Amino acid sequence: MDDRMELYLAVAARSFRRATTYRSAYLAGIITNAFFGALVCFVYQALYAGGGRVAGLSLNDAISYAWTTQSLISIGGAWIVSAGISQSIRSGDVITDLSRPWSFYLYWLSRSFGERAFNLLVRGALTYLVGVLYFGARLPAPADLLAFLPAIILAMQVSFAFSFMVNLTAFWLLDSTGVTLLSNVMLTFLSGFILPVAFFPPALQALVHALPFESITGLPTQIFLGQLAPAQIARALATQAAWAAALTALGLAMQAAAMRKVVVQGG
Amino acid sequence: MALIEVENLQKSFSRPVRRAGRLGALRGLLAREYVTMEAVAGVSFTLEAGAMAGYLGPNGAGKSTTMKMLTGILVPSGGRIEVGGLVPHRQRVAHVRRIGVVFGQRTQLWWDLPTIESFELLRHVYKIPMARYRENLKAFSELLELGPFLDTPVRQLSLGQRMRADLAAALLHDPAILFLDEPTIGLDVVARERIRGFLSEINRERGVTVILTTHDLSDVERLCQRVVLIDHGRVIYDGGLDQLKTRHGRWRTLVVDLADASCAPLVEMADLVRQEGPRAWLRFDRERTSAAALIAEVAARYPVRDLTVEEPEIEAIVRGIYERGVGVI
Amino acid sequence: MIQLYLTLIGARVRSQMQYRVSFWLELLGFLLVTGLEFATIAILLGRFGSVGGWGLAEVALLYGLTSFAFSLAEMVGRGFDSPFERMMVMGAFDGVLARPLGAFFQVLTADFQLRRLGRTAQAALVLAYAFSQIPIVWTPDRLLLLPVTVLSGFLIYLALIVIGATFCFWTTTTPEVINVFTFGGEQMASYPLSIYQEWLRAVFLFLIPVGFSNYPAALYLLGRADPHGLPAWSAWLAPLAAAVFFGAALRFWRFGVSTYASTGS
Repeated sequence: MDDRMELYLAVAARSFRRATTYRSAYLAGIITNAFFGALVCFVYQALYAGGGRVAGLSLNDAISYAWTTQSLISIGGAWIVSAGISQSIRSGDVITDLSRPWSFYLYWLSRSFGERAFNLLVRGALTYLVGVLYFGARLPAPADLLAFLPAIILAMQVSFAFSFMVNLTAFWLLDSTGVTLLSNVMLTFLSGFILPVAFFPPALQALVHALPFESITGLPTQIFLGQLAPAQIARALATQAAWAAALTALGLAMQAAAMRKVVVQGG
Repeated sequence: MALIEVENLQKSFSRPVRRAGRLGALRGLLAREYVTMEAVAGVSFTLEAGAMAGYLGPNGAGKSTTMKMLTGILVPSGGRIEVGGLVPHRQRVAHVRRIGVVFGQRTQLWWDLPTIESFELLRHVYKIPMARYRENLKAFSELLELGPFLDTPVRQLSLGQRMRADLAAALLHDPAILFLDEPTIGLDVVARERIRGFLSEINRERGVTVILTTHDLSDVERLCQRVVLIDHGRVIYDGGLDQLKTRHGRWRTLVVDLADASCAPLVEMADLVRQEGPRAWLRFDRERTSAAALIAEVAARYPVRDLTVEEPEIEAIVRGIYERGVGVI
Repeated sequence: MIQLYLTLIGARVRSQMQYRVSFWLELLGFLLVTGLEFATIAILLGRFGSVGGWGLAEVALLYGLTSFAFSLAEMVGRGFDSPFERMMVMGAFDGVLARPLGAFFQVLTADFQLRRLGRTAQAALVLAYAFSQIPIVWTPDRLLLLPVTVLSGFLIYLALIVIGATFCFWTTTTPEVINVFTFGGEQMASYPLSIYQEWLRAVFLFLIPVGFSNYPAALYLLGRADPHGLPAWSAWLAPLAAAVFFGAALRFWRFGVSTYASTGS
């Protein structure tokens, strides 16, 4: 742990407060997320016309799942959000940030956590409320909500570490549009954002379980909706923690490499 | 009829008010308050063809807003504009065909294309006859020394090069009027001088009417016979630059080089405002003392090597007007 | 005007082709990204068998038609997306209004994304799959209906992009709102219109006529009947709907331009 905890808390608090000021942005965001949530629900209602369960999920399970994942978009559950780092790399501000007496990684992590905490509590919660009111999305049980708290924090760490690495490719690539595009595809599809992983064919499910993206969206969503037994929850949290640690280590290694590149070539 | 006629021109904007405090943002979601800002509050002036006029004012005075209405970019909230018989915002396309526009801080050229290709595209956009296009391109290339960077993408040009390219681009289609918003902003002395020389040349030789806004009053001194000063969206002076100087510049300065550096030239009819070694600056009121009388007085009392009378600096006059109003000075 | 369009677009494409590798990578990227859209549909139908009585091949026809039209609109109309947003933020829209051409025309020529052919290729592949699975008797009218539908769909999507962009005049940045209109429309049209509630069907046929980009045409090609009584001949109304909608989008755009407030003072 860094001994400048206070600094990072202040950075996170500022970023939280800044997020509150973009009101037309989050209002538009809620409308967008709710619109797509509704569209998905209409399709599920038609698909489930015969009733029953498919791949273990009922219509209400599928609908609740759709609204949860829509609510997680603004914290990075569907694609990479908040391109602040890559902007600062392109503008050259990154050089100053790298040379400041703080951990560059923790600085951006706190910024991202501050903003995403707001997004989760306001954008996410309001989006989910629309699902509850109009489509009968399920309210989580208190115990599941309790397990969801560490799950979502770990999810944000995995998501941040992944986007941090994608953003840092800008140090080596002239144009990182391609990498971002590809990363977004993986995130959208392999995280369980677009569909519950249970719907995937077995081979694809195995692939998803072997990759970190499920820790960002699929696992916290299943915990939130009470779709996992206590033992499964424990395993899910352990998986998330392992990925968070692994990707953070990778991200820090990439940062060190970027730092060397800056020192040697002056950016 | 004058080329440009502006009568009681107005433009107001409404902006949402930001609320302070932690809950301000949330409350703001529900109900917004708007405040109306009058950027231009009843401006009138006319300009004859062939003139070169400076449109001046401090930041936020409404200069750019007026320029944008004159060029058809903004729709006025009230009043009347006619430029060459056209109403800019209503007959926008016909109007902009006859004008050239340069906004100092942003380029009108295609960012990622070589400069010459931007010119080529403009030839198509304005349907400039090939012969005329070649002639103009050649003339401007010489006057502005565009040659070295014609094949360089616009994004790689220096600020001075870009401004020269933008000026050429704005004039390729032989506009009758050239609107310039801060044409020398951010440029060094040499680049600035080159652009001024070019502007007076096209005004003189081609008869292009030029209207410009600027922060740099030396632009105005060098280029404009006519100035319109605005503040808070209203015209506070409109007339010749010389009249502005004579009417509002009451104070002159006599610069004296003395043979003896040790003495201070003290006379009753002027104030000693500065002295550096043998050189002294004496400020006098033109309405109470003539320069000739003062010179005679100083020369009679002190050993003088050289004398010059400094005209008031336009900058000081304009600053005085903004600070104290037209009537006071 | 068409010649000037080609001249301006030609300059764009030339400058894009300077980065050849990145161009092909992005084209491939779009093929993959949009391929996953169809993969999602295929996975769902693999689990559920059919949606609203439509099997995978039939839904592929729906998806292919609308995606093809959307890809053309994205290729042609993306000037209204980030280039236009940049113009608004940087104040460069002033320069647009200072030129003797329509603002619409100039924003349209601000970008031309040839790399969107990635989606076009994907849509063509999906259509090829659909046609290989469904025995359609190709009469002249059915053959004619294909380009008519795609062209109408193209105009409808282009109109949506323009409408989304017009909001920029009041809010400066609205990429997310554009998504509701375009991607939302495309996603909605990827499934048979009959599965939606009556008011939504009405909205997507008569208010935002994205439904016309594929559904009636698919009924016509497949010889199917709509459970809610939409006649198959309504497929021929698509050009009319597209023209009316595009006209409305243009008017909305012009209204936006007239309220343009520029930046600064």
